[in-house]
Amino acid sequence: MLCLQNPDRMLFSRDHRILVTGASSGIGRAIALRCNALGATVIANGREENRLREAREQAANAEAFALEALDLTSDMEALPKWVTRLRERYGKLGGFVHAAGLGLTAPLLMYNLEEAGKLFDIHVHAPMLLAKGFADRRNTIGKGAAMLFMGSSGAVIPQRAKLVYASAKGAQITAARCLAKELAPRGIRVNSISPALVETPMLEGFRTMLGEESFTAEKEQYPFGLGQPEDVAALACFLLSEESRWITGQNIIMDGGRY
Amino acid sequence: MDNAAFLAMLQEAFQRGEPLAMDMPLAEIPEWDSLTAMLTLALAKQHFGRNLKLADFKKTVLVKDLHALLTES
Ligand SMILES: NC(=O)c1ccc[n+]([C@@H]2O[C@H](COP(=O)([O-])OP(=O)(O)OC[C@H]3O[C@@H](n4cnc5c(N)ncnc54)[C@H](OP(=O)(O)O)[C@@H]3O)[C@@H](O)[C@H]2O)c1
Repeated sequence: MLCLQNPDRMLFSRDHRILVTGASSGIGRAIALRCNALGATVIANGREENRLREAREQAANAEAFALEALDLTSDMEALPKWVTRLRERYGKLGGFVHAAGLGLTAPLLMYNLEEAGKLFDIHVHAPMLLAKGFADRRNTIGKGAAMLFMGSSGAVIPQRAKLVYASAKGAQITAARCLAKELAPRGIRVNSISPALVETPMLEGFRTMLGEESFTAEKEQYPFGLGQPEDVAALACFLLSEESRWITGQNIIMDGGRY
Repeated sequence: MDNAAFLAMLQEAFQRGEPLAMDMPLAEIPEWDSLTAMLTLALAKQHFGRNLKLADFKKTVLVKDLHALLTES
């Protein structure tokens, strides 16, 4: 896909550097690959180096696909400094996508602090501390920079057994909207995408828990079928690019008609 | 907090590469915007126990005025 407003050029230039968390799998991987194919330099993060290497093997421009393995919840206070080190290594960042995440399907009776804490760490605390590092003037290009958070339609449409996951996503989406207000004067845009079910490894866990019969019934609620990671990646690239320069503070739901 | 430590603290808050000096006009510091002003309010509370308002900054012209505002008892 070329730039819509200027069809002679790619959507991103090579010196547009985008940090993508969750780039080793599913939605994050699809976003990282698409940004890379559309010209950007991608800094790909996940916990497992070998899964990141697999992602790079699929990259259109492997030389512009850097790997930075790190467990984002192991030392969250250090995350802003980690972003500074990335800037020192690669140059100022123009984009940040937080697609790292964990799923959880558990009813109220199974609520426990440790599990809830893990979800809030990866969906709220880690991304906000990464955002803190990204928004630092010394680390970001400023005007033209964009952040993108992977929310969930579950944060907007309540579902049984999703209270922890949905409330963590809800907190993330609200935080993103606050950030959008805060960072607009510096020319940084902030948006969220909230997908319904997308076929990724995360969905497999949900499918196993639900059982085949209930999963098939759920799938039938989608007039346009379940989402593919590439569907989310297409919107993500648009929101990261200058094509969407008038859009900030939004949470865009993608659900293939299941609402 | 001595002047050097104050300037270093402010430089970090302003997320600025170059050092600051006491006689710099705030209006000429590109990093001095509404967000850094809010951050400075938080610093005033955290480091000096001062409860300031954004309006208090209207009186500040130079970095040293900011220093005086934050540190005066
Ligand atoms: N799939 C869906 O139906 C769906 C729907 C709505 C929203 N979402 C959201 O979309 C995002 C991506 O989901 P997905 O379906 O693509 O999941 P996925 O395939 O399971 O991928 C999750 C990614 O997060 C990374 N990750 C998890 N914990 C991490 C940590 N502590 N530090 C660093 N990386 C970590 C994983 O890295 P490793 O490879 O190292 O494990 C992996 O790259 C998540 O936030 C999810 O909640 C998904």
